[in-house]
Amino acid sequence: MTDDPKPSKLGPTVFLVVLAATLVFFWWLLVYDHGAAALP
Amino acid sequence: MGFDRRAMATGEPSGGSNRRRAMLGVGVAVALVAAALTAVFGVAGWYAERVALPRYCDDPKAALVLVRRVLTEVRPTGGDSTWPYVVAGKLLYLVPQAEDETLDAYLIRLRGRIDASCTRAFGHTVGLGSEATGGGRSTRGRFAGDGRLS
Repeated sequence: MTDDPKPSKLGPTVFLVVLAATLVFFWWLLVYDHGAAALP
Repeated sequence: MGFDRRAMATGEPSGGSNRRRAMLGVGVAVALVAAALTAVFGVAGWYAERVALPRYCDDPKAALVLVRRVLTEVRPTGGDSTWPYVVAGKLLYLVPQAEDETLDAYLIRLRGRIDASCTRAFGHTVGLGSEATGGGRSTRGRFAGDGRLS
């Protein structure tokens, strides 16, 4: 009796990384306050 | 499809009923996902108008100058600090340029959106000078101080 091959974790990992990057981008775009001194 | 004698005899739901129930579930799921996406985009747009855009009310002229540089120059920073360009670059995502929109028309629209957000947030618009939108490489004309093309 042989064990079933372990499913690859590449898909969920890529999904989570892309999701995290998307959330960080939208946080930076909308929520993060760059402050009045950020522009010259 | 058709007459399910076994289901009729045992009182179990027929295949057609199961299929209808499954399709209803898929429909509900699609509707929920569509509603969630619509809500997320709606809230993001509302937040951008109410909170993100008014952050440029202090000095929108500088932001528009940097946006023009980002859109027209290969190396807009020219060795300066990159951060102001990154901050101004947010405007490209908050108010994207339309596909067939000229640079001048886009900057006019962008200025209008910033003005509108400032009026909504602070009750007044901001004054923009000619240096905000003029001086670019566009061949379609330059902005006058009051924002009109000249």
